[in-house]
Formats: sequence, C-alpha cells, structure tokens
Amino acid sequence: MTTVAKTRPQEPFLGEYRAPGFFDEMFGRDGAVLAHYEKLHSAFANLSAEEFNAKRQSVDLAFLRQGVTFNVYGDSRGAERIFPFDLVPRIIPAQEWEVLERGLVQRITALNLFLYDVYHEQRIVKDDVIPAHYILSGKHFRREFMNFAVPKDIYIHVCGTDLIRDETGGYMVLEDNARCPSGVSYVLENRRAMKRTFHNMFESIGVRPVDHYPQELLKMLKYIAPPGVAYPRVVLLTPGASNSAYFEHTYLARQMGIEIVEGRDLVVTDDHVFMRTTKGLQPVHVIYRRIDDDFLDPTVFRRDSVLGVPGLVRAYRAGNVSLANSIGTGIADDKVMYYFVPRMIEYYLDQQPILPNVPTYLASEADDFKYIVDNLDKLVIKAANESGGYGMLMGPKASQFEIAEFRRRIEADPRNYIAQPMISLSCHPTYVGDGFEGRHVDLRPFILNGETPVVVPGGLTRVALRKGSLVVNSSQGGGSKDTWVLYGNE
Amino acid sequence: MLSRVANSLYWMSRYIERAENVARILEVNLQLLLDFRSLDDSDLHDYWMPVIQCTGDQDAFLVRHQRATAAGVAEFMVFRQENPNSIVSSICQARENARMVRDQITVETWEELNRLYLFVLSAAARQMWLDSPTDFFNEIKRSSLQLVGLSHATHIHNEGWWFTQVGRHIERADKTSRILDMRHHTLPPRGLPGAATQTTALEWSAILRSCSAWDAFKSIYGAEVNPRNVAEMLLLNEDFPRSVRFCVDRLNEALRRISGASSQRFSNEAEKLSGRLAASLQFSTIEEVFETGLHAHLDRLQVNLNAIGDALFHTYIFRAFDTGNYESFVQQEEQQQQAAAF
Amino acid sequence: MKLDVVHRTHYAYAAPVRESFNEVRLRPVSNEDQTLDSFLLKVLPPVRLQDYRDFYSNYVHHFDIPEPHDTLAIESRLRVTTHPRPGVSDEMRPVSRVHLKSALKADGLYDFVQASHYVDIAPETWRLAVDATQGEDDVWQCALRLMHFVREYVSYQSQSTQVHTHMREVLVHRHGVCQDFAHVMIGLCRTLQIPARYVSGYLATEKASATHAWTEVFVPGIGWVALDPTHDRQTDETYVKIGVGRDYFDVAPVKGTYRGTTEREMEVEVRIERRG
Repeated sequence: MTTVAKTRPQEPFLGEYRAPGFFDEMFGRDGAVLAHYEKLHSAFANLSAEEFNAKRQSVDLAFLRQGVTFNVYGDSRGAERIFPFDLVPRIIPAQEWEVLERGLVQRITALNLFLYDVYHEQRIVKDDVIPAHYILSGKHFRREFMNFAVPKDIYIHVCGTDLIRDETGGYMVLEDNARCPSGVSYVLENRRAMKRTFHNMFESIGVRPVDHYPQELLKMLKYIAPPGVAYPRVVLLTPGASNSAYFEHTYLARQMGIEIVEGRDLVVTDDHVFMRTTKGLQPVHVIYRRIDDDFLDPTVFRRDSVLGVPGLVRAYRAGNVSLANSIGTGIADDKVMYYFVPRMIEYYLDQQPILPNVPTYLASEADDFKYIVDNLDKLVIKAANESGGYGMLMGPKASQFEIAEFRRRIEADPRNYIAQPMISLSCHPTYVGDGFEGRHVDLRPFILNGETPVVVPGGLTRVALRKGSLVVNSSQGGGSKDTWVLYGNE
Repeated sequence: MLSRVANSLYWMSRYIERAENVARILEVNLQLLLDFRSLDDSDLHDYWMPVIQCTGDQDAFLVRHQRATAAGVAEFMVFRQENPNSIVSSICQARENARMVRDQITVETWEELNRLYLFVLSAAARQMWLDSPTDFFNEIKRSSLQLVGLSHATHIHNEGWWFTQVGRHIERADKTSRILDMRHHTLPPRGLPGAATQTTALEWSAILRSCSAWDAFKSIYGAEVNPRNVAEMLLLNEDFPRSVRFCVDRLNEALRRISGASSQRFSNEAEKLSGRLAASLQFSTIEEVFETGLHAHLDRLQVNLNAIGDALFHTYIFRAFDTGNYESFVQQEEQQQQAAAF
Repeated sequence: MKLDVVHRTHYAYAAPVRESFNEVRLRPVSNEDQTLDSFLLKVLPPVRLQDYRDFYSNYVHHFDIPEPHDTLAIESRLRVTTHPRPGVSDEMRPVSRVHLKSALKADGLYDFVQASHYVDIAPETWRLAVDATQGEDDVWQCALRLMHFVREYVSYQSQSTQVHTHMREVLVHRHGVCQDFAHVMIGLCRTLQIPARYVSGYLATEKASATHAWTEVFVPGIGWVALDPTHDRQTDETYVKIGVGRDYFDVAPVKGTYRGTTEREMEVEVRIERRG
C-alpha cells in the first residue's frame, strides 16, 4: 500500500514523496504530515531544489575538509570515507522521548547489575534464570576478571543501544553495544552542520541540545577515578590512526580537553600507569579505552597484540587506574545475552521492561533450532559476537547459496547464532539524488552511566541509503541524520 | 606532552617546509633553464644533477633514469611517491603526522593541510602542472606560507608549538645550505673565487631567488651578484629569515624554550650542539668560510644539523631508560613440560 | 614422601631488554594428596612480587622489570609432603556415561569439555576415541582405555616437538613429550564428553630436569581423578601438583613479555630430592 503525501501544491520539497508502506516517521497513514514535523515541513517548503542542493553540497564539503571520516576494513586502499549525511532531520516529540529515556535507563541499570553479578557470585545462574553455559561459552566472558573490584561498581560507562520501530510504530531494542560503541562524534558534528545550515529553523522549532555530551563524559570519567587522587589525569586510549573510528577518538579527546594516547605511549611500573612525555613519566589515573579487551594487555589477553599495554590489568587489579568501559563488559553485548535482558530486568529490578526486545530465537535451544533451520528464508540470522552488520544473514533477501552457508554455520556452532523475524523498520524521507524517498532508519541513543545514568537527547539516526536495504551500518552503505528531540508541550 | 606527539609535530612541520623548499628549488631552476638555450644533453645532466643532490636523492634517481632531463627530474621531485622527498611524498607524510595528532593542531591548520593534500593528489594538480608549472609551485608555496602563518597566529605557543619551530628551522637551515651548495663544482675548493662571469651571475641569482632572497640581497649588496656575497647572505646574515644563521638562532631559542634552560647554558646534547653551531655562525667571516672551502663547510654544517636532530630525538622522544626504537613486545620463551626420560 | 624441589629458569638476552612483565605458576597447591610445607620464590634482578589466585584457583605470582637488564633468573624452592593416595580400584562400582550429561550441568565442568588453545574436538579424534573405548559404558574404564591408547599411539621422544605444538600435530606425527601426551589424552576424553583437565607439576625421578604434565578426568560420583598418560598409570606420592587448567596455556610455569631483542636463550633446571 502506498500513499501519496498530501503537501501543498507547487511545493518542491517532498512534492512527490511516497511513503513506501512501512511506518513512516514523518507522514501518518493518511499521508498527512505528523504534528511534530509540521514546522519542519513548512520551513523546508520554502526551499527550492537548488537551494536545498547548495546546502547539501556545502555540508558535504565541510565534512570532507574537516575529515569527518571513517576507515572501512577490507577496503583495499584502507581509505577514509565521508560518512554520508542526509539533511532531513528525524524528529522525536518530547513525550515519546521521555518513555525511551526511562526504558534506556532501566536497561543499563539492569545490565550493570548483571555484570557485577556475573563476575562475583553469579546468583542469576544459581537461581536458574540464565543457564551457566551461555555465560561460560560467551566469547567475551573474561575468566581472568572474576572477583575483581571495579570503581563504584560500574562496569558499563558508555553504552549505545540500537532502537527500531516496527510497522505499528512501536519502539523495540535491537541490540546493546556495551564494548566500544561509536557514533557519538557524528551526532555532535551533524548537529553543528545543521545549526550552521538551518540556524533559523532551530530557534523556531525548539530542539534540545546535545553538545553537553563531552562534558558529561568527562564528568563521568573523573567520577570513577581511583580514590585519593586530587586531580585525576584522564586519557583516551586509541588503537591508532588506522582504526575505523579514529576520527571520533581524536574528536572526543579534543572536546574533553584530554590527551589521546596509543598503547605504546603508556607504560606500567610498579602497578601504576604512566604516559611517556617529553618531561618524563606522568601518572595516568583514568583511561577511556577504545580498544577491545582482547588487545588490551598482551601479558593477559592476546599475546600478539601490539596495541595494548603490558601490565595494565595488574594496575587495574591493584586499583591504581580506572578503565571505562570496564574489562569484561563484552558478555553483556553478546547477542545471546540480549535474549535474557528482559529477564535480567525482572530479576534485578523487579520491574517489567519498558522497552521490549525484538522476538528472538536461540539456535542452541532445541525447539528454536528447529524453527530457525526450517525458516531460514524468513528470518534475520546474526552471529552472537559480530558487529557492524558482518556475520549477518537477511533471510528474505538472501540467495540459496548464502542460506545454505548459514545453515552450515549454525549447525556447526549453534551457541553463537540467534534469529529474529525481519522487522520492517520505520522509514524516513531521505534525499536520494534526485528527490526524496523513504529509507529505513534506526536510532542509537548514547547512555552515560556515571553517578547517575545520563542519556543525550536523540542520538545517531542511521539510515540505509540503498533502496530497500535494512542495513544501516556505516561500513555497509549507511548514512546518518541529525536527531531532534523537541522540548515538551509540543 | 607525549613524546610521540612531539615527534609528530616536529615531522609535520619539517615535511611541510621540505615540500616548500623543493618547490622553490625546482621553480627557479626550471626558469633558469629557459635562459640557457644552448645546453646539450650532457650539459643538461650536469645542470640538473646538483639539483637532485640538493635533496640528497641522486641514488634513487639514477636507479630509474640514466640521464637527468628537465622532465625526468621534475616528475621525480614533484610527483613520484617512490621518492620519499618528493613534494607529494612530503605533503602526504606531513598530513599523516598531522592526522595522528589532530587534537593538537587547530581546525584551520588541519583543513588547510588536508586541502593541500587532496589537491596534490588530484587530477587538477596534474593539469595545473602541465599548463603552468609556475602556478603549481606558487600553490605549494602559498599553502606552506599559510600554514606557517596559521601556526604563528593561531596556535598557542606551547611546548608543542616550539617543537614545530624546531622542525621547521632545522629543515630550512638544511635546505638553504644545500641550495647554497648547488653550484659548488664551479668554485675552487678553497679560497675566494675569481670574478664572476655572466653565467655565474645568472646561476647565483637563481640560488638567491630559490630562497626568495633577491630583494633582500639587492638592498644590501646592490647588483653585485657573486658567490662571496650570496654565500654571506644565505649563510651568515642574522636578519634574513631564510639564512642558515637566522634559522639556527631560532632553533637554538626553540630548544631552550622547550627545556627551560637559559641561553647561557645547555641542559642536553641537542642544546649543546645547537649553541655551538649558533656561536660558530655568529663569529665567522665569509672569508674564513671560503678559506676552508664552501662545500666542505656546508657539508659539515649538514652533519651538525643531523646530529642536532638525532640528539633531539634521544632527549625528548625516548626517555632515559629506553635504549632503542619503539620495539614491539617479545614473548618470553616458554618451557615445555617433559618428564625426564624413564 | 618429603620432597625438596628447586626449579630454576634463566633467560639470557643478546642485548639488554626492558619493560618485562611476567606471570609464574610455580607454587603447588595444598590438598588431600599433598601439603606444601614451604615455598620461596626469588627473582633477579630484584623485583616486587605480587600474587593472586586465578580462575582455576592456581597461585599466580607476577612482577615487572622496567629497567634494562640482560638476564632474568627465576628460582623457586619448595618443600612438600606428598601423601599416599588410595587411587581408584578396578572393583569400583561402574558409573555409566549417561550420568555425564547431568554432571555437565554443574558449571565448574563446562570449560573442560570444550576445545581450548592446544586441544580441539574434531571428528577424527572422536573416531579414535570410539575405537579405543569400543562401546565401554563405564566412565572410569573409558578413561583408562583412552590412557592406554595414548601410550600406545604416541611414542615419547624428547625434542620431537616444541612448547607450542598443538594436539593435532601430535596426532599426525605420533611422538612428543608429556605435555603432548596430556593434550592428546584430554582431547580424546573431551570428544566423549568426559571432562578432562591439564595438570602441571613435578615428577620426583632422579633424572628430573623439567616439570611434568598429566591429566585429571572427572568421574561422576567420585570427582577428579589423576591419570598420567605418559607413564600409563594413576599418580602416586612421587607426583607434586602445581595447578590445573584447560591445557598448557592456562598453567605455563613462566610466561611474559618484554621489549627488546628476540635473540635470547633459556635454560631450565629442576632438581628434586627426597628428604628423610
């Protein structure tokens, strides 16, 4: 079913937009502009196609000049690419956001309690809520980390939770990213670009700001510093310039006013961490690390890692340095653990989940396994520990060959595969070269978990630029939009 | 500041300065060639080899080309990425270093350097080169000067900034000395040369123009272009920004600002060497220099500059207990578990 | 049996190295089979020693040496009293393999039926295990048969393998040292879902010059029982146990990293004496 959007005649903007039959963010089922988009729509209506194009190109140029880029693994040139940006923002009304915010806070609270439990008494296992083998078989469950005391008992400090909407417009959680979630620098840069390009619109529409993120992040990092340090030094640990998120690392470091370091800049002596500087060794107290656990310390984890700092785990164990996110948080964003998050919320908080999961099947459960294998062409299959859209099969769109390959993989390693029905993600009008068409979007809000959880209004709206595609990841042809959360009483 | 960051800032500014200097050298010599209509092949080769020696790349060049021609030399020194000192290579390396320390440089500096990088790799740059090499060189120089200006006017003059000053002035001193040395085979090994011929005057004017020193020179020496005057200008003049002495003075100052030592003392090897070099330039006359031989003198100068660069490295980039490069980790050998034979 | 053990590891580097971080697992446990009377660990150059218990409850000492050094000497001296142990007799009531399934639900066993660093679970290995046990249903008897099989299948040849040799290479070439025997035994047990783990320790023979490796298998209703595939027997008082893990990777006596030259030499010396 397609509808033609009812816009004023002779309106170049969205004049011929057809909502493609999915839930549309901007247009209701009857084709009328939804209330919270009205102001935007009329503001855009005054733009001619040429003006719009000119604005689009100047934003692209600004991103290129600044190097707002990312690297793509597997690209033979190892080249940097500009993360495509679409000028039409996604808008969320205040009351809708309020529910999302509560749901996200609830979720991260439960995840944090889960991590504490799993690395201490494992009550959730003893009480039979989660079978032990799922945890022990988790690729990112760190045995070396049992009974560790972490500062303020916080394991996840920064989390990016992906939300989608189904065809009724209901929000659901697609996955949690608790290891090194990236994308917040694009949120900040996109907002800057939009403010520059559409400054009038901001004033009249009333959008909640997002640029306090770096300050909140720094505040949280200082909060977890080892006790007894008057002026804790905070650094950001990056794998280096060839990492796909390097731009974000330098961006955040600069916004927070902290040093960005690589593994080779740090040295551990006497269980304390130091930076190598021109004036000798300077102590480091908090590390915001954007390196995966495996590569963090070659004496404990992967011995061939050149990105890490030997002795870092020892210093952490001795309580002389704090890490955000903590070691061992990967078990929380294992896609199999995702399945149990609603149960975690009930077990630890005695509450019902505010934001539901997407219905999920575990290949390692016998009944689910049969269902999955019989319905591979209808389901989305995901590997438990991959990200960025890799290790994923979109059943309805896959070839026979791909389906057979995944059947083989699931049979070989059922613990590491889950399946979900293909959700028809919501669509949003997006500029596609010669007009506007609906493209699927998701939302990644960023949650900071310090003294109290803080959620930045909105987050990164990712859009699948290819027609009909549901894959929004930057490495696979996605782009982004600015996300506007409105002030209340709209 | 992080040693690695100091290193990157140093090399970023060194490579930008290098690109600019290579552009200057090539531009002037291409111009000069137009005045020498009657050079045959072997003359051309003799003409161009000193230019390549300026950047120390003669071995790399001769691997690829048997004779030096204008086209071959220009291509090699501008575009070839196998030549680590070509303009394009230098700009790429400068940008790579900048990228690794993006949080330390201003947004404007990054954007300008990035713009220059995208430009030299683009087809537009090639086209500009074909249409008018002068325009191309001007673009390189203009961008470099803009970066210098941005550095002076918008960067906070902190420790990192002083490292960029060190890099820039070491490179400039080195390149100026090499430019000055370009016609050394026309000079006697020792002693002041005789009266200048018209060819000599043209060649040495080209040397002055390579350093943008023509106007300054005229204001001091009038029209008397001869090796003695040019050498004095570019080597010992204390006020001209591209002279070796000026650069070494700035280098000396920068080193002391980094360590906090006063100009009367030295607190590390690099400062000791730079102080000594500055003093020798301050208290020499050009006649004394030619007595020992200009070429020999310039050779020694370049060796001294290298030594300063090395000493700088060891003092600031590697701390006291580091004994070598940033080596990667080595695993301890592990012992196999084997009961004694039974 | 009262035993004195001295275990010395000496590294000599071609050029001074620095930023050395090391973990050692040299301190034996105390349990019903042995009592650790004293333990002393010395390191040169002098270091500050720290310790903790790892996931498998092994004692781990760790230290770092930031400054340049061209030798590293690690020496442990210990006194231990080993006790006679009854061992499992052949008249024991059989335990059927069906009990393994419910036993595996106990979370402490999960790690010991999975593939690990030096041990994989492959169909070829499973076939060997099935042939070796020939339909035997009792867990203990299976384990014994597998142990006999390893002894037959693999020949002891020192210096035929090296410290990072994987189990599958041993199965191809059919020779190795006790570390390899233990890995093969563990692999075979795991294909039959019998939990098996690697034990690092000492064997008090007069010609001892290295540590020894054997296995423990889990028999439902009894617990962990030690089996030495290299010598095809259960353990006795001549065995001193340091610790356990999934395989060598978890209990290497000395492991670490440093910055510097790859040219180095390692010497290991173990001396064991009976006292009294």
